[in-house]
Amino acid sequence: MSSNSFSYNEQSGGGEATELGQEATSTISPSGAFGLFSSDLKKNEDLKQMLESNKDSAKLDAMKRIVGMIAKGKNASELFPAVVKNVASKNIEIKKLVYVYLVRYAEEQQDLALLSISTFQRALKDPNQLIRASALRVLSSIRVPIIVPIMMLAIKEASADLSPYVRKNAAHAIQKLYSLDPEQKEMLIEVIEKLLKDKSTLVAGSVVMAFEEVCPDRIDLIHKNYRKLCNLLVDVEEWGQVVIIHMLTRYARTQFVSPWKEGDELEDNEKNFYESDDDQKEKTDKRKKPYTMDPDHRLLIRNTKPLLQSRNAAVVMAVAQLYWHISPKSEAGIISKSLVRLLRSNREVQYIVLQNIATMSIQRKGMFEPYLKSFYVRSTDPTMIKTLKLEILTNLANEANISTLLREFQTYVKSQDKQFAAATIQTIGRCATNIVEVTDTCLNGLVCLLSNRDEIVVAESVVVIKKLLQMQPVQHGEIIKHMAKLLDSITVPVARASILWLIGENCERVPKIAPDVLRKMAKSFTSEDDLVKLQILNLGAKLYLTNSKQTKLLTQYILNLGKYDQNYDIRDRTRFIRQLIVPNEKSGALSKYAKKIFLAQKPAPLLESPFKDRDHFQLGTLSHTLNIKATGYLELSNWPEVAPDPSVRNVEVIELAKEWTPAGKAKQENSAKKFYSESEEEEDSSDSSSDSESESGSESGEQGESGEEGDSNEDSSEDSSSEQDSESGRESGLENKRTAKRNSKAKGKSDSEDGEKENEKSKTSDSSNAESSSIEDSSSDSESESESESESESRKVTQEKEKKTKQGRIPLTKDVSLLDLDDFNPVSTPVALPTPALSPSLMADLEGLNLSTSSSVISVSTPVFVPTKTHVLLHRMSGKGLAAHYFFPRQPCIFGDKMVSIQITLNNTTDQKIENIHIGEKKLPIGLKMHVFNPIDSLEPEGSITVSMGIDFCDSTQTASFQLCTKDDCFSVNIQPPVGELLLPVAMSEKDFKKEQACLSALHLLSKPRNANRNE
Amino acid sequence: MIHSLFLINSSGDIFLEKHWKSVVSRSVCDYFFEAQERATEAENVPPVIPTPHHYLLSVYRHKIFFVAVIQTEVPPLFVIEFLHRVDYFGVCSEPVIKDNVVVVYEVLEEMLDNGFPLATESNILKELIKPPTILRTVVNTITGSTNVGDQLPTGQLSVVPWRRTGVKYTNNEAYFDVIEEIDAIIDKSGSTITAEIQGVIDACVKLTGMPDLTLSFMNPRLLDDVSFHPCVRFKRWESERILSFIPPDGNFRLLSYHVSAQNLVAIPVYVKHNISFRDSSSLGRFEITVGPKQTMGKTIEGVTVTSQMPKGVLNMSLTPSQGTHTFDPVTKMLSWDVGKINPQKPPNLKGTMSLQAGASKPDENPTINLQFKIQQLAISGLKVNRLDMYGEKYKPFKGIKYMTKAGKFQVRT
Repeated sequence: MSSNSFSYNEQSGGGEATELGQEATSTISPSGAFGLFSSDLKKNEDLKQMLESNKDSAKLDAMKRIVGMIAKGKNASELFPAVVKNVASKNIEIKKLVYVYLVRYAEEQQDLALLSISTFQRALKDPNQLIRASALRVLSSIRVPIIVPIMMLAIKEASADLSPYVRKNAAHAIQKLYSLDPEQKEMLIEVIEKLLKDKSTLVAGSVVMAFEEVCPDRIDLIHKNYRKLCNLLVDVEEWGQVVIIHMLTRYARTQFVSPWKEGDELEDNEKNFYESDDDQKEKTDKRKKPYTMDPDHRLLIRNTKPLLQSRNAAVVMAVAQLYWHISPKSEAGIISKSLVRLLRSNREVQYIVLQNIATMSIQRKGMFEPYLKSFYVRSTDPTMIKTLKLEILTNLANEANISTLLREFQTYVKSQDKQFAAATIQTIGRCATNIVEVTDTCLNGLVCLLSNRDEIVVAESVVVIKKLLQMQPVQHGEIIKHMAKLLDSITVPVARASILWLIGENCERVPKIAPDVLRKMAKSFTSEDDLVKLQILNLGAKLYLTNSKQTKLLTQYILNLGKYDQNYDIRDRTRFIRQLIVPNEKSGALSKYAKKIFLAQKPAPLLESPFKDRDHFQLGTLSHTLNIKATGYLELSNWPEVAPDPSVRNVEVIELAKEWTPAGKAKQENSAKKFYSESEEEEDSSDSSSDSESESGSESGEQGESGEEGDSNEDSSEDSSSEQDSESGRESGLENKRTAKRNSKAKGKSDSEDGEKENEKSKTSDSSNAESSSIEDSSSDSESESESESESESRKVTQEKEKKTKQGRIPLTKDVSLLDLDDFNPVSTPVALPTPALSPSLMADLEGLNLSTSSSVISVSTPVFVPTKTHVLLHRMSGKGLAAHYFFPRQPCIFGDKMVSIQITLNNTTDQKIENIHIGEKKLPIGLKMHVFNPIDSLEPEGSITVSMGIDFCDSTQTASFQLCTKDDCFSVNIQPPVGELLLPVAMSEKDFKKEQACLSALHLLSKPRNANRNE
Repeated sequence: MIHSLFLINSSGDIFLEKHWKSVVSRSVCDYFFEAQERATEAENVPPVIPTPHHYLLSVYRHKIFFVAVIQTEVPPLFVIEFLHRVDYFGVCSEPVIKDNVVVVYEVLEEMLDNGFPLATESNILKELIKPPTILRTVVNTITGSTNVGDQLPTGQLSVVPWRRTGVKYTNNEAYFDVIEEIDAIIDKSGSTITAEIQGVIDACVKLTGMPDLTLSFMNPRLLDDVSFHPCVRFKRWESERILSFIPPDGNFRLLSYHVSAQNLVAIPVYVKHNISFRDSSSLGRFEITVGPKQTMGKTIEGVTVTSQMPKGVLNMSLTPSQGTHTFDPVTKMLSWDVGKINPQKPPNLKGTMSLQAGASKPDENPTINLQFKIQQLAISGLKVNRLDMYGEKYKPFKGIKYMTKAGKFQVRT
């Protein structure tokens, strides 16, 4: 600190400042009570003196007291002049406290705050990076509009600082300046653009935060930094990770095509065809992905995966939502385990995570079904957690687990937390409507609850029963009679109203009771709740119409009572009903239809999850939690139909690519060839992508001529076309090898003609026709002129980039064999949980063992790995387009404890709906049992669905044969379990093993294999 | 991001406020108080409360509500996780914060910049602002030195931001505690409805310099789902199942893990219960016995039994065979501090309940919550194989401890 500034402070700050300070006091706290005010003044006087003193300790003491005041929310603004003088104090602690004070009050005392600016400006040039950083931090936190130019300058300089820490602070300062003066936006965007290029992990999170705040729509700034951000992500600090992941999710949704439809289909088909050729181990290799997924898309999905292991719940949730929104549906399964882990955390985290799971579980039950028990309610859970868990249990309920769940619900109904008990009853109602098999059971259960002691429980049951009965227009006279009796005892208005409504609706089914109920109600009309009164009126009207002989007088009596009721709703209703039902000279045409109006068939209410409509919000956001669009919520766009040019993410300059063009001639030819053979392949292997195929074809056709110019990437439409080309081209390389392998050239050719026809349909222009004919020719390797150099070029750029950065992509033309293996490697299976596969009877054995020899440790270990290998159950050829695969998820079966669980994935490869898929006749050897999956009503074309079933193989490898039926056909299929799928992996010490072995010697003599002893 | 923070104690006083952007009037907390009133219990206050201009995100810790004020869209977990990280003093209780208001305020200032987390590692924070200790306070008053770190914090700049530089100890020690918790629901008949094991490895590492540690397990495959402290090298774990890391200085949680629910979980205790209410009489019978089940030969200690009795129970007269018990007639909470379980003589609590006269009998028996500890046992069977240190020359003292505890362990009756 120079003596200059000190003297300056002394002179101008000292004298004047006190005056100013007093002014400020009088303006800011004029309302203080007199006595209090004076004492405050006195106290502050003493603080001022301390601040003026020469001793640091006194100053420090004063500052601490002042900051203490701030922390407690007391006003300390009048001390501003006295405090600001110390901004250049040599004592770090005093300085820090002064900074704290400044940041808090500068906004209120702008003129005085300016006095401190020069200190910060000097500090911005300090050789120590930490001092520079903290100066920038405080300077930018002083919200004084006059210094905007100074801040701007400081930010610009700091953004070029050598220290990443200073640059990080610059990124933070950007947001502060933007909120102070939004007009600086353009300049700030420039700084953001510069900082986005920064390679430091320290800066990344902060600058993306600034990006999100200042210019979230400038997605173009991200292109060049996309791959870098993906690669840095793991090393960025956790808070930055959250921000970056959310931003990249949005980015991915604008830049890549949807991996959801064609994607999943194609993958499955590939598995289907090549699985037998492929080595299992190669399959687990994650590097190469399906069909047309952009490698950049894959890069993001792959690089975020390790973050599921983060200790930070926000990071885990961010990755989970990323997977949910942008990964292929088959891969999203891995997030469920991590989300369930978060449920161990504190109640706030649980609350948010459960909400998100609730939304997910509506759309994809299968994801959380294996974790059903994690959502069981504990009596110590707070009510909000309980109800959320209940919600999820309801979503997960299906025919297979409903009996377990209902048993669990029974416990909940008896809970002391009556609010929760009521919620459970509603849940039972929802289960009853969703799962037809248990409707009657639930109804009976609910009727039993009607005799419960607790009124809330009874009331809720009445309401739910009412809804259920409304859904089933069958005779339920008995229940209605029972409920009519309840009217004497129950007092909860909603329940009373529900009963009355029910009786009114069914008044013809209970002709004797209804008038009697009305009689009773007429007596108590005046003392009823409004809700009940309205229903009494309704009941009266309905009875009047159906049974006027008995109830005419009663109804008129009630209408008279209603006429003079205090509530205008009831008076209105009375008037309305009277006009409608009582015939008089004034009544219009309507009264003729009175009966139709009152006793119309009413649609049953839908019992839906409150989370049903939440999925249009991005998961993990505040808006999703509140189910309201929060300020500043950024919509997640829909996938683009056609992916924008991926080459924009290439970091190399275009010139570099040009140089490569001649050298890559051979390659170019190859790729051209590949492109076509790819289109053949696509047409041939699955009709699925025909739409997109023809689209891309026509696109490229239209672009054909201009495409010759090559790399003019300015034109946006061309951008997109060349993007398409290079995409499919890249893929074609892989596809081509497949074609070659299968020696299906001839076939390919004919297929390409098909493809061409398809193209023609969608095309209009001549040029495109020319183009399509060139496609036909090109099956003999000729390089097509229109197939745009731009395409191959852009691809080459990509290739070069890939080679250099080793981002896991593989050069296209080399290493054919290697590529092959990678290529057909299926994506990890959807619900692969590393859980032991054990046939439950073995489990029981083991449990017994464990109990008897409590000293030894036999621990069941999780399976080393769950093979992703699927077995073909029904080939799509023999299944007339319906393909089925099964695999063993190695989890205990939820259907019965003796069963092995099996997951069956059904694919519809036809272009028509397949309806009513179910299991027909079973031919099981004696002892074998199976639990079939629920019939599937319909499977959309290209649709795929995974169902689980359980088979009890009796610990044998007998084959279970059964028929898989659709609406029209039946296909015989069978499942034979490999021995390994019936075993239980255990880990035990050698000693224990010997001991166990000794115990089982008799069995050994009989030379029977005993699985439990298998040592690891 | 985070605009302001208010700390509110159980009696509804705002005893600390901090603003990172423009000041938000504390009257915004009125919305919170409203919600609190509606929720009746602190636990049921919704963590996210919308108000006309702001959103209030709150967490409840150590009887304090941390209420963050948010103005725009932000992932709620981001804020919640942050609020749970404000953990400078170990325990953030009201008296501790009130005694150290200035330090807390400074720490908060350092933690966020413009509402975005800047430094949340407590190691770094402690380097920035030294926590006050009695000794230091005495020294400070004599020498006039300060609590604020006089060297500038370098941790934030390094590649290992979680570890401060220049650490020196005369005794170099590394302790690891493997602590497993059993979460279980046991039904009326004693069979397990659900049981799973959650474990953590907490470490206390006091090693000089920049040690690089590896920790390996005998049976790493037990771990079904893991989450790591950022110091753990994920790749190494993926490929070799070895934990390799440069540890933070002091106490930290190295790893938390989950042992799959599908594995068999040994339940170390059983609870026998006989609780009955009779319709006619105003007396009910109550008896519970706690005994060891699968304990692998270890003693069960620190057993406490708590149970929320139905509202109709006026009082209980019980005699325990060991330990002490209390019943709070207002909250209806029964708690029985059992202590150690002697397998030969399982502890038992027996007696009568007096019920409200005339009221009908409660339709549910109370749930019994159990707490216990078993030393020197990780119930999943997880075993640490070895711990090695690289990068430094000295020989550290290494220690490992196992413990099993009850997590959320409930017995339905």
